[in-house]
This record gives sequence, structure tokens and C-alpha cells, in this order.
Amino acid sequence: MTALHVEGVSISFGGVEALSDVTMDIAEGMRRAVVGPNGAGKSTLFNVIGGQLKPDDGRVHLLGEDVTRRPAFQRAQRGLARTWQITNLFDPLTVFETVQLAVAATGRTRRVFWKALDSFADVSSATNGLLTEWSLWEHRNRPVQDLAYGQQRLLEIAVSLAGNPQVLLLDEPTAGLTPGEAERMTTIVGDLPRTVTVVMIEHDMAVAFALADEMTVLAQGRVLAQGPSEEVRRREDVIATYLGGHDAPD
Amino acid sequence: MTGFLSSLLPTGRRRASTVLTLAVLVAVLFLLPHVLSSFHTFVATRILIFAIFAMALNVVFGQGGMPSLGHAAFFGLGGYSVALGLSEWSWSFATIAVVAVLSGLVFGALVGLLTIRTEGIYLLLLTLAVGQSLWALAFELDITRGDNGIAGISRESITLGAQSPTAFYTFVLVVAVAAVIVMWLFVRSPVGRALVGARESKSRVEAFGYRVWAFRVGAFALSGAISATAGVLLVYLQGIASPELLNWTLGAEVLVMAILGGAGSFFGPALGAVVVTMLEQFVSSYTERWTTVLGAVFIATMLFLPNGLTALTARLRRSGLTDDEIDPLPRTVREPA
Amino acid sequence: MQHFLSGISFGFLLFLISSGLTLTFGLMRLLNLTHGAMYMVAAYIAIELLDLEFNYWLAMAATVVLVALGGMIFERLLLHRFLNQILPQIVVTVGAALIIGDIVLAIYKGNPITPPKPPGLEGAVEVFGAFFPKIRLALIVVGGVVAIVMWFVMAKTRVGAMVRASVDDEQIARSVGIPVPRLFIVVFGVGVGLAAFAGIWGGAFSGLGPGIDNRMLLLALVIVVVGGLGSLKGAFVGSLLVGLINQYGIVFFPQFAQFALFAPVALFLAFRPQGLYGKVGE
Repeated sequence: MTALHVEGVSISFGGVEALSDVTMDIAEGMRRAVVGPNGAGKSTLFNVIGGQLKPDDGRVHLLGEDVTRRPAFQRAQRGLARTWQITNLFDPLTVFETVQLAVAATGRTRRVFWKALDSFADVSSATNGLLTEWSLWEHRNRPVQDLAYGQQRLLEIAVSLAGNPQVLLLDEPTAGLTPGEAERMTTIVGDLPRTVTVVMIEHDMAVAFALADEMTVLAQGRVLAQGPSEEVRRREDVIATYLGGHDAPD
Repeated sequence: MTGFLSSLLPTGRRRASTVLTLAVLVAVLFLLPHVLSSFHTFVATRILIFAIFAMALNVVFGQGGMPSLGHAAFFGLGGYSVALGLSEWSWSFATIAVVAVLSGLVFGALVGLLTIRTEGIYLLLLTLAVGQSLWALAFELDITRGDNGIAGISRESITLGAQSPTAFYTFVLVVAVAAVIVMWLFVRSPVGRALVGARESKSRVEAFGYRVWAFRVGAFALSGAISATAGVLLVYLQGIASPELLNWTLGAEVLVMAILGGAGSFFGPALGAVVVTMLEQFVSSYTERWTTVLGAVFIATMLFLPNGLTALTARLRRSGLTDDEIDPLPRTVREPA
Repeated sequence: MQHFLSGISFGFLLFLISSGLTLTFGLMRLLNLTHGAMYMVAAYIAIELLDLEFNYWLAMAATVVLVALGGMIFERLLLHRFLNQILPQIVVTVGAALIIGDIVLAIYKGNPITPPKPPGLEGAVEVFGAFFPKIRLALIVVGGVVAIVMWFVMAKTRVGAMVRASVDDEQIARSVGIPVPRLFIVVFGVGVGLAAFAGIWGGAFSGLGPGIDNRMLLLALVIVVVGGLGSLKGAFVGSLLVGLINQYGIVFFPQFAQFALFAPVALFLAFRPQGLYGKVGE
């Protein structure tokens, strides 16, 4: 089945066309990298897929269902999760509380307003499990803002997986990380189970080629090239526009 | 039942001391009217009422991040439910209570709908306009008797025998404890937590899967209902209802109570209500210039404790009562295998 | 017709008060809840000075300067440290307003009082077949002049350009070398000065009593949000609108004049929270 189908999506801001007739098909279990120079519209595309923005034209289909009109929270319920480039993870909350909030979001507890969240043992144990899996257990009671940047990015991904999503959007997972951390992050993303379809925005072309089966190259809001990574890599126009060997400077 | 009770309290090693502190505090509060003069009991009752009101406001303001300058409207809805209910339609106490809470709930939900499109200072001023519209009705409708208000409200009809100052204080205290429990559960619930998260980053919480807009409407409905309850209690306390109950200046005062006490903490607004009300009532017996003293206290507090008074008490005594930035340990404290 | 003129003149009075408030907010993100108190205290100071037999215009100018200076000192000493913290701003400005209001109450004991009208502007003039107070007409003229001057300064002078740049993006303005803190003080002072002037003349034709500070502040807040926070044009249009609605509300809905003012405002803001000319989303 097609995990994510984006068709003819266009959106403009104040006269500037951020996305123009973007079409993308991602099959279940695939890893797709969305690449392109700054301002190409990658984040805008993520915001359209995620539901943070409504396109002027076009449709978004998630796991076979048209979600173009659906708000972000409904897309999450239907199996979509995303990370955010700006790490503004609820500063006063602790690591535990943040993961706990994410875990409870897609479960039966999400509409409860008369009973403390802490009293749900299943949420707590799932949270503990996730914390352990992502080596965050010892930091669980620290405020999120106290974590090192690299750990915050790890937390970002852990939190996005809390609801067992089927489609995961990763917004620049290695941005701002040291080479060692980036390598670790690449391994972690690579190890994600194939039950999750992963779409990532990446500036680091080495990482993109290491992780992605397929690529979509955006430039100035349009799809320049799309297809299996090796094919895209060989295309002259792509190399000329952007690739030039390794990652372009930001 | 024990499950419900245990879900109320913070967990872990601080539980014993927190329970003890709470128990002592509540016991002291219940004993107060028996040792205080009737004037002081009056003041204590007033403090409790404004503590309820300030905490209700803070559910949407400090916790939910939605500032409201029109909250006096809910307060007045409750107050006039009593005044009109008794003077015009001879309602029973039960009817008054139901009408007050329902009108606070419904009007709260309506105002909550406004938060879908408005935030921050725009919401602050929009709620100001909405609140003043309701004030205008109280001021200009014939039935509310305008500026003079409706006087002569007696507590006779309160079915629970809460007529004397002491009995009424106890009644208000019981209502206050109930309201605090409701608000505590709400703020600690998944919905409440999502709201607090959404205060910092709405898109993120929505992207988790929470229907934030509906939670905000719900929070306003709850806040409105409890504020209306406080209004009912105040009118029974003073025996008179006037448009001043709905005036934006009262809403501003309660907002200041919440900020002064500490809008970021659960009990901060109650502390603010205690301080402000005590200043108002007791300084006035020493000087006519108590308003100046009040203003000076406001300014001084912000200079030294811009996050409110609870920042001070948090430093003095870290307990689960005054600073909700302290995180409870997870329920299952087992270390994973 | 006289209703129209009454409404307009009140509108211009409101513009004098609200222009300062909106500029202060637009530039400094500061919600100055002492503004109503400034209006009131200026009128009282003017009365005192005039009691001492000073020349009217001298007394008026002295009051305006005095109050503006007081405002600027208040900003530098107290408000400046809370520049991006709106919650302490609310508490501090409410506190200051309470103190000012109480001092006035202490001295004047809540008796309504009216500052004298400016010499030459007492009495009425026949306009369109009815008598209209000269001072109200003068207010329209002066208000209009102030509006034009403000527009000119903002649109055509270097200072105005600096203010506009700082409103748009303070960080960039600072990095380009614009003396932002100095601008803050000046703009704040000008706003307070205008409110002071409004208090002296406004008090002259509508009288002053306890609570006038809150009433004026309320109207100013309403105008500022209806016009759009930070927009001078919005404050202008909003002031005239509110002045007219207020006047016609009294004429056509005498019993429900207040409701006729606040309910439409609430309804308008519910659908258009940014007001007439405000930016969408802050």
C-alpha cells in the first residue's frame, strides 16, 4: 500500500510560491529523503503533510485515506508522527512527563479530564520502556531544557515514536549534531523497523544516501527529480543544482 | 476509592509529608471560625472565595496560557443567579446553584470557542470587551436595578443550614476543597497536561494527537463554572449583588492576585488571594491609604519576585504543595530489567 | 449634526489618549495600564497650578511636561526591566495606577472637579443651527493637527523611520545602530504627554471624578485593540468610531448605551481579533 501520497500540492505565501505542483508517492516501509537547497520548500512540505499548513491546491493521502482536510491531531491518530527542527520541547516539563504526554496521546486516555495522568499504569510502563530503549532513563526527572542538544534530538525521535506511528516525518535529524552524534543518529534511524515508513529532510547528503532508498529533490518549490537514490545521484541536473559531491553549505 | 484518593496526591517519597501537611492545613482551616471573631471569619470567608476565583482563572490563564481580563463576567453570572433568583423568582438554593454553575459552564464554553482564533494579548483584550458587555447588561437592564444593585440577600434559603457566619464559612470551605480537588484532577489529567504543553507549543501537542481546541473550550467551561460558584458564594456573604461584580477592574484584580501569587504554580493564585485580601481588609484599619499600600506591594513583589510569591516559598520549602515544577517520580518506580 | 460633532470631538480626545498607548505597545510590547491615571493626574495638577494664578497656557504646558517627565522616569526606573515580561508589567502598572489614584483621592476626597476651560474657548458657538462648545471644536482642530503631525513624523522624518523600524524588528534596528532604549523613553514620554493634555482639556468639558482613570483606560484599551495594536492609523480610526458609537449610543439607546458600545466591539473582535489594521498573530 502507499503509505503517503502527495498530489499536486501548491501553496503560496504573500505572493511567493513556496510549493508548486508537488507530487510524491511513498510505499510502505520505504525510506525517503527530501533534499534540496535552502528555501526549496522542504519544511513547508512537511508542514503540509503534517497538517500544520493547508495547501492552496492538491491533496495529501495518508495510508490510503485523504487527509487534506483533516487537522494535525487527526492525522496523528491515523498513524502520522513528526519531529521538529526547532527543539522547543515544552521547557518546564521533565523528560518523563514529555514522553508520557506523547504516549498518552494516541491511547484511550487522551480525552480523560477527571483522573491524573500519573494514575494510568499502562501509560507509565510504556513511558518507562521508551525511556530505557532510548537511553534516557537516567535523565527522566530532569527538565527537558537541561539536556544536552544531542540528547534533546534523541528525545525528539523517542517522543515521535511513542504513538507507534506508521509514517514518520524526520525534520533534519542530524542537524546541529557533532560528527560522532550524527553517526549514532544515522545508525538509530537506520535501525528503525520497516513497519514505520520514514520520510526525512536532510541537508547532509552522506547521511541521506546512507539511509534513504529513494530521494525527492526539491528546488524552488518544485520537484526537480525523484526516484531511487542511486538514480537521482547520477542525474546531471541534480548534480548541477545542488549535490556537487557532498552537502551544500547552509 | 483508595485508587481515586491516591491518584490525587503526588507520589513517591514525598507522599507522607505532603499528606500530613495537607491534613494539618485543612484541619486548621476547619477550626479557624471557632477561634476567630465574626469579622475575622468574614475576612477568612472572603479570602476563601477569592482563592477559588483566582485558582479558577488560573486554570485557563497560568496553566492553559490563555489570559482573560473578562473573568468577572462569570463571577457576576453566579452572583446575579443568586440575586435575581431570590428577589425575582424565589428560587430554591438548589435551583440557584444549578443555574449558576450551568450559566458559568455554558458562557465559559462560548468564550472558550473564541480561543480557537485568538491568543495572547489579543485574547486578553477580547475577553475585556466581552466581559464589559456583560457588565453593561448588569448596569443597564431594569431587572438588575443598575448601579444600586440588588440588596437584602439572605442566607436563609441555603438548605444546608449555612446561615451563621461560622456555618457559612464552613460551607464555603467545603466548596473550596471540592473545587480545588476538581481543578487539581483536571490539571493533572491527560487533558490538563496537554493544555499545559499546548501553552508552550500548541502545534506540537496537536501533532501528538490531542484535540487542543476542544480542551481549551473545556478548560474555559470549567473555569467559568467554578468562577460562577465563587460569585454565588460572595453574594451570599455580602448580601448584595452589584454590577461591580462584573467590572473589568475586579477581573484585573484577580488576575493580579494570580500573577502575584505565582501564575505558574497550582496554589500560587490562592496565595495571591490571601495576600491581597488581607492587605485590603487589615491595612484599612491602620490607614485610609490602603490602596497605596496595595499598589506598593504589587510593585515591590514584582521587583523582587517577578515569578510571584510561590518562587519564594519554593525556595524555602520544596514540597508538592506549592511548586508544581517539581516532578513526581513515575508511578512504577521499578528499575527496568 | 451636533451629535456628530460631539462624537467626533470625543473621538479626537480619545485619539490623544490612545495614540500613546498604541505606540507604546507597538514599539515596546508594553501594556501601560497607568495611562488612565496619567490622564487624571494631569487634570488635577493643572487645577492646582491654575489655582496659583499662573497663566493658563503656561500652567497647561508645565503640567504636560511634568507628567510626561514623570512618565519617562517611571519607564526608565520601573518598566524598563520588565520589557518582555507582560505579566509583571500588568502588576506593576496596575500598582502604579492604584497609587496615583489613591493619592488623588486623598487630596480631593472623591469630589468631582472640573479644570477651567482655556481662555478664549469658554462658551459656545453656533454651528449648523445649534450651539456647540468652543472647546470641543478646538479639540477637533487640535486633535486633527496632532494626528497630521504624528503622521508626518512617522512617515517622513528620520525619527519616525527609526520608530517604524524598531516596531517592525527591534533586533535588526538595534544592530543597525538605532538607539532603541532612547526611542522607548521618548515615545513613552510623548504618549504620556498627549494623555496629560487630553486630561486637561477633556476634564474641562466633561468633568472628573473618582473612577475617571479606569473609564478612560478602558476606552483607550478598547480603541487600541479595535484599531490594531501598534497601529497609529488604527488608533485614529478606532477613536473616531468609538467616539461616534458612544455618542449615538447615548442618543438612540439611552438605556443601553454602554452595551451598545461594548457588544459590537466584542463581536467585531471575535471575528477579527487583530482589529482594523493590526498584524495577524503576534
